[in-house]
Amino acid sequence: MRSNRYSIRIGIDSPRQPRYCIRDGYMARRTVNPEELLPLTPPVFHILLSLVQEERHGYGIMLDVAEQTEGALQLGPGTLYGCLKRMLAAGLVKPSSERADPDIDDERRRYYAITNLGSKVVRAEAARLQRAVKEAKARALLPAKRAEAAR
Amino acid sequence: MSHQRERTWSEKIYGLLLFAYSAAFRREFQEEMEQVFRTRARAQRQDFGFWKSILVDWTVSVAKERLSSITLRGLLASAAALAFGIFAAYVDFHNDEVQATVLVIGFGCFILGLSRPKAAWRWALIVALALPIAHWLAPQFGIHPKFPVTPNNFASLIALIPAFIATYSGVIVRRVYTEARGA
Repeated sequence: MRSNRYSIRIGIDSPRQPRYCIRDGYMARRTVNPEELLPLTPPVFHILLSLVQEERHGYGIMLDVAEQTEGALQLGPGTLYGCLKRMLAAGLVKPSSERADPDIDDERRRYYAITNLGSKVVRAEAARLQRAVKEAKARALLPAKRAEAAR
Repeated sequence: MSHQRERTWSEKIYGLLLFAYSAAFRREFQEEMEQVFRTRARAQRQDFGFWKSILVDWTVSVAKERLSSITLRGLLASAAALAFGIFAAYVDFHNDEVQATVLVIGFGCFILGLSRPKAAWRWALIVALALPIAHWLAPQFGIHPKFPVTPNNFASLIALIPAFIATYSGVIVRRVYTEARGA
């Protein structure tokens, strides 16, 4: 008998959908293609970027995102935790330990870490942005490399 | 992550604002959000700009969070509640006695409470408030009830009582049935 195949598209905009697919009549964990989650929203991209090198707590992520974007993107607590909720559901980040950050105060804070999937997704997004920048340069919207070097 | 110290007035205000998020979201992130707010409030001057950014962030994120939690079933239940409310208003417009209206409200709210017991107060509110709203709105469009509410439209707010009783009767029946099935 021919089996029905249904695939459930996952995206970080639909956190309630499980990362499973029904295949051949039973539930199986689905291998997620990072490209499927692109393009990322700017807050999600910068949050992932801030977690690439080290685990951070919420306030640490906020500070790092502001630094990365030279203050252009200031995440408020609502935006930050709304994104983290969707990213946790999509398996891009995971909660790490709870500990105090001696640079701030002695309060215990929950740290977040990037997952393997999160690393793949941020890499894929960076490559996508790189292609976009290349295209912008080709259309003379940005200075080309040689002109930059000459300056 | 608990903190024992006294909360400042700004932390208390922010704590109240967080009630706009869903209960599940608050369970997961409230403490962390308050902590981030507290740290930020200590690091920055709490001027107009600070509160403006907090309020903009709160408005946008609450709207996103609430919209993302809307389900098709929830939408259908809301539409059904509105339909019952409009029908109750129609019946009320054409009857000089309240029994028929109460029957429609009671039936609609009972069914909705039975089928969607979670946060069932929403169904009671939608069905019951449709009545005074219809009494206020209809004359603007030239529709006048045969039997206006006396002494004024506020009297139709009394529909809230049968609506809540019927809704929570539905919820109780559902709970008893579920427990009986589980036992």
